[in-house]
Amino acid sequence: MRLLKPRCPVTGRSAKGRMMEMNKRIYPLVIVLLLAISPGMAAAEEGEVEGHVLIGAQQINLDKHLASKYGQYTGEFEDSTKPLVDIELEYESPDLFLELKGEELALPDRSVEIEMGRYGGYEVELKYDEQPNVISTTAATVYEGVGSDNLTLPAGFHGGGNVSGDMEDSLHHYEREIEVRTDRKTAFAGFEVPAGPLMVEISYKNTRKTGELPYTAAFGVSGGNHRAVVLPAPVDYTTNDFSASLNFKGESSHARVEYFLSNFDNSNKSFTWESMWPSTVSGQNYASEGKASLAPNNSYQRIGLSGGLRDLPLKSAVNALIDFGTMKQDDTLLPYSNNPNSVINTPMPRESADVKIDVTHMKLDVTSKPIDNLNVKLGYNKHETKDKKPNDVFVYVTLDTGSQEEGLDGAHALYAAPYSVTRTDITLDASYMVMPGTSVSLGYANKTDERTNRETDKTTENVLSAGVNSMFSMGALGLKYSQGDRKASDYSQDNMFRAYHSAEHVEEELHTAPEIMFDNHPDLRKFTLADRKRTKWGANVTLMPTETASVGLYFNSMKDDYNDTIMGLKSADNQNFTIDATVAPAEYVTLFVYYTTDTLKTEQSGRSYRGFAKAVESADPKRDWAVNIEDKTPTFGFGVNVAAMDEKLDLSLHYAMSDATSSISFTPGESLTAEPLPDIKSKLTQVDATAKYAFTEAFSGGLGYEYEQFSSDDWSYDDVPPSSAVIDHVVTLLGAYEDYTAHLFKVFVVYHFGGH
Amino acid sequence: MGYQNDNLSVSGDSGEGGGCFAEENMKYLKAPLYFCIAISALAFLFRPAAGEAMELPDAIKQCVKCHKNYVNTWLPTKHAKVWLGNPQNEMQERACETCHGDGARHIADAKAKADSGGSVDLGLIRVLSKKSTLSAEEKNSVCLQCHSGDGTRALWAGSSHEANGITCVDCHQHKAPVMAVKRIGHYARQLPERIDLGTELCGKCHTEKRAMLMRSSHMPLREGKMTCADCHNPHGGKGPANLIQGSVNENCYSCHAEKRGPMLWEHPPVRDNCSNCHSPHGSNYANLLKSKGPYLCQQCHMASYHPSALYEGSGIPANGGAAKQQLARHCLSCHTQVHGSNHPSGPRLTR
Repeated sequence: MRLLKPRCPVTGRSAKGRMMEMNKRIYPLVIVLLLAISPGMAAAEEGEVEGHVLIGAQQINLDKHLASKYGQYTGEFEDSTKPLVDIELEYESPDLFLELKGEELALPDRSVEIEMGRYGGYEVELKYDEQPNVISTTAATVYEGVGSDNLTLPAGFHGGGNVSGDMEDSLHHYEREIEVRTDRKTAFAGFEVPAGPLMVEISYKNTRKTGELPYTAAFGVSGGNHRAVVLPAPVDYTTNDFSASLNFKGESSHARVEYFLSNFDNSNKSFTWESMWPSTVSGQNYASEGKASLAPNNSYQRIGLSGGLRDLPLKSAVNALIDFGTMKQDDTLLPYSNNPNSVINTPMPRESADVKIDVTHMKLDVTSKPIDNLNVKLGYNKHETKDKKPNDVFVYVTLDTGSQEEGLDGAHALYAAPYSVTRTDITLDASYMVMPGTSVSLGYANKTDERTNRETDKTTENVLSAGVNSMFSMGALGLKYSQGDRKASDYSQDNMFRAYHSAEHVEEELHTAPEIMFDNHPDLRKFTLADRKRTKWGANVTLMPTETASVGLYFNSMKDDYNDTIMGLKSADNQNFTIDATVAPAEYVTLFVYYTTDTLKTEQSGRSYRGFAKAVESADPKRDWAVNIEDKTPTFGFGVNVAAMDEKLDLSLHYAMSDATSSISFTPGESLTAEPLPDIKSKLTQVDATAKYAFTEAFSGGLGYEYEQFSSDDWSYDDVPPSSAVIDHVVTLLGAYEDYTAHLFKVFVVYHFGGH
Repeated sequence: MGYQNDNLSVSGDSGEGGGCFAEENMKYLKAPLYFCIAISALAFLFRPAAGEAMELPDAIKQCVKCHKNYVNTWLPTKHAKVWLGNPQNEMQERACETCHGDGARHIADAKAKADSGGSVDLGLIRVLSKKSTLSAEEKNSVCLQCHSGDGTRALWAGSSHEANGITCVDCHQHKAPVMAVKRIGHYARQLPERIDLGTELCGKCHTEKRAMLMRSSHMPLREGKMTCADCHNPHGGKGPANLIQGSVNENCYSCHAEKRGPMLWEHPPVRDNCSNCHSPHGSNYANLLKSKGPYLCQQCHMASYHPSALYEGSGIPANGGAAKQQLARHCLSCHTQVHGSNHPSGPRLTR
C-alpha cells in the first residue's frame, strides 16, 4: 500500500507542496522588509549588530516506517535527514533596535519573528509561523477526492448492506493510506506608537488552516439500521483578526478603548460523499449521496473600555473593564435532506441560520489596604452570552434517510432554542500579615449562573476559603483550603423536554404517555448544573538550605461530590503530589530532578433502558450500572547542565518520563452483565543530550541526541485497523497510534557576529 | 499499489516520496539560504567599528567598582540600552539607583564595613535578589514605578498573582536580555533546555500543569510552538485563571474560530465552557478529553437505548465485540458535529 499525501483539488499540490509555495512567498517578503528598513537603520546613529546563524543537519531514525505521534507538531514523522537553520540578529543603537529570530527555518514548523522600533517610541512586530498537526499517517480510505468537498467511490467499488463478501473485498482492494493532518500558517503584524501619555496599538493576524479532519458520514434512523464511514473532511479555514486600541497612562490612572474584529471564512460550506450502502437498508431508504454542513463563516466584533485608578484613599486601587461584543453567523442552510426520495411535509422556517449572540463582559476589582498589614480585595465579574436567534421549529430528517415526519406533533419537531448564559461572580478576599513574612487569608465568593432553556434556570455557589503563607530564612510554607457549595434551582428534565420539543409534540405526549415524557432519565443530573460540594486544599513547602539548593514539595487535592446525583457523574477526586529539587554543587553545574504523581478518580452511574420498554425499564433499579475510572499518571524527570572550560563547553543531559494508566471498572445491576476492560496505557520516555563548544569567539559547534519512546494500549483503537469494518457497521479511517522508538541526531555550527 | 484520482496520478517513484537526498533537501534549503545571505549582508552593513569600547556613564561608575559582574550582565539589557543611551525621563537617568534607590548611604556603609570588617547593611539599599528582606509589594513597587497600568499589566492590581505575593523578579530576570525574558515558555525550544519549561518560570509553581504537558494528548507547548502566555496573562487577565480573554471559550476561539459559531443547533455545555469536556493542559485521552468516551458523554446523556446502555468489556474486539458507541470515535460514530451543527436536520449533532 502506498502513502498518498492529500492534495488540493484545484492545484493538485500536496500539503507539503502548498507549504513550499507559501515559503516562496514569505522569505522574499522578509528579505524585502529587512532591506527596506536597513537604509533607515544605517542612516541612524551608529549602532551595534550582534547575533548568530546556526547551520546544521538533523537525522531522524525511527523503528517504524511512519510515526504520526512522534511528528504530530513538528511534521517530521519518518526517517529523514534535514538541514537545520536558525538565526538570531539584534541591532541596537542608542535610539533604535531591531531583533530578528528565525527558528527551524528548513523544517515544517518554522517561524520568523521581527521586532523593531525606537526606544521609548514606536515598535513594530512581525511574525510568521507554521504549525503542522499530524493526526494520522496510516489512515486509510477507499474514497477519491480527498482534500475536496466531494468524495466519490472508485469506479468498480462494490457496495452492500453489510461489510462482508464482495464489499469487504472491495474495501481491501481500493483502500489506500492517506495522511490526515492540518497545517496552520499564521502571519501577524503589530504596530504601536506612543504620543505623550497616549499609545496607539494596531495589529492584524491572518491564520490559514488547511488539511483534513475526521468526519463520520452516517446514514440510518436508529442503531438497528445505522451505517457509517469515517471520512477525511476538508479543512480550508481563513481567519482574519484585526484589533486597534488607544491607551492612556497617567500618573495614577490608566484607560484603554479597544476594538476587535475577527472574521472566520470556510472555503467549504458543506461536504458531500457518495454512499457505499444500497438504497434500502433494513427497510430504510438511504440517500445515494450524503451531505453535511461544515463550520459556517462567522464574525465577532467587540468594543471594550477599561481603566484604573491608583493611589486612592486607604491605599486603594480600582480596575474596571466592560466589553460589548457580537458573534454572528448567517450561512445559507442546506435542505433538510439530500435524499431526493425524502418527502418534505413541513418547509424550513427560514433559509439561513440567522444566528447572533451578544457578549457582555464586566469586571471590577477594588484593592485596598485600610490598615497596615491588611489587604482587602473586592471583585465583581459578569460574563453574559445572550443568544438572539429566532426560536423556530425545525422538523428534522435523520441522516438523509427516509422522509420527514408529518405535522409538528412528532418527536422530530424541535425548537432550535436560543441558549443564553449569564455568569456573575462576586468575591471578597482579605489577607493580614501577622508577622513579617507570614500572612493569613480569608475569602468568600458567590457565583451565580443563569441559563435559558436548560434543566435548571439558575445555579448558585458559595465558596469559603482560607490560607496561610509564610516565608522564612530557609524557605517558604503555604496552606490553602476552600469549600464550595453549589445548588441548582428546581432541576428538572421536563424543562428541557418542553423547551426543545414542539408544543404540539408535548401536548401529544401528555395525552398518550405522560409518565415517559422525557428524553434523559429524570434522575440524571448533568454535572455542569448539578448540586455539588467542592473541597479543595493544598500545601507547599519550599526549602532552600543553601543559596545553591532548593527542594519543593507540593500537594493539591480537589474533590467534587455531586451529593444529590443518582445518575450521571457522582464524584470526581483529583490529587497530585510533586517533589522537585534543584542544586548547583559547583558554579558550573546545575542538577534538577522532579517527580509528580497525579490521580483522578471518577464515579458515574446510569440505568440502561430501551425505548420499547421505557416505562418499565427506566424504573427498574436492577438495570442500574456504575462505572469507576481511575487515571494515574506519574511523571519523572531529571537533568544536568554543565558549563565547563571557562564556559566554552556546554553539556546537558535531560530525561523525562510520563507513564499513564486508566483503569475502568463496572458494577452492573442484577439484570445486566459486565466483562472487565483492559487498562488504557500510554508511556512516553525522552532523553535529550547536547554538547556545545565555542572554538573561537565567532564560531561554535555542537552535537545533539534525542531519544523518544512512546507506547500505548487503548482498547478503543487496538484491533480496529484503518478502513476496516471491525466495528459494527462503521468503516473506519484512523487506527491506533503507532508505538515507536525515535533517535534524533544533530550536528551544527554557529557563526556569531558582532557584540562586544 | 498505484492510485489514480481526478487530479494526478501517484504511482511508482513520482510524487512527494521520490527523489534523492540532495534534491529533496535543496528545496528545503534554498529559501533559508537566501534568508541567511540577506541577514549576513545586513550584519556586514552594520558591523561595529573595530576597537570601539563602551564608555561607562557617570551614573554607574560608583556601582561598578564593587558590582562589576552585576553591571556587566545588566549592560546588554534593554533597560541598560535605554537608560544609559536614551533615557526617557529623569528617573531613568539614575541608572542603578532607579531600582535600587539612593546609593549614597549604602556606599558610605560599605566603605565603613570594608574598614571595620563587618557585613554590609542590606537594609540601606533596595535588594531584589533572594537575599532581599523586602516584601513582595515593596519589590514590585520598584518595577511598577514605570510599568503600572500600561499594556498587558493594566489588570495587575487585584490579579491572582498579585494577591498571592508573586513578585516581578520571580519570573523576570532583571539582568537578562529582554528577548529572553519575554519568551516565557520558549525556553523549551532552545536546546538544551527543552525540559526546562517545567523547571523554569510557570512550571516552577504550577507543577501539576508541568506534568500534564507530558501526556500523550497535549497542545504543542513542549515542542515550543505555544507558550503559557498564549492563553494566560500572568500580569492579570480579563478572564478566570488570568486568561487573556474574558472567558474560557473566547480564549479557545482565538485559535479555533471555527468552533465559535454561533450554530443553528448549539450544544449547551460547549457554549458554556470548552473545559467541561476538554483538559487543556494535557490528557491521557485523545483530543484533550477529560475522560474516555462514551463515559464522558454519559455523564450528561441518559436517554433510552444506546445513551443509557452500559458499555463494558464485551464490546471490544479482543472479547469478540464490535460496539460502535464504544470503539474508535465512540458516540462520534454518529454525533460527529459535537461542537454544534448548522444543518437544519442537525439537532442530534449528526450532520
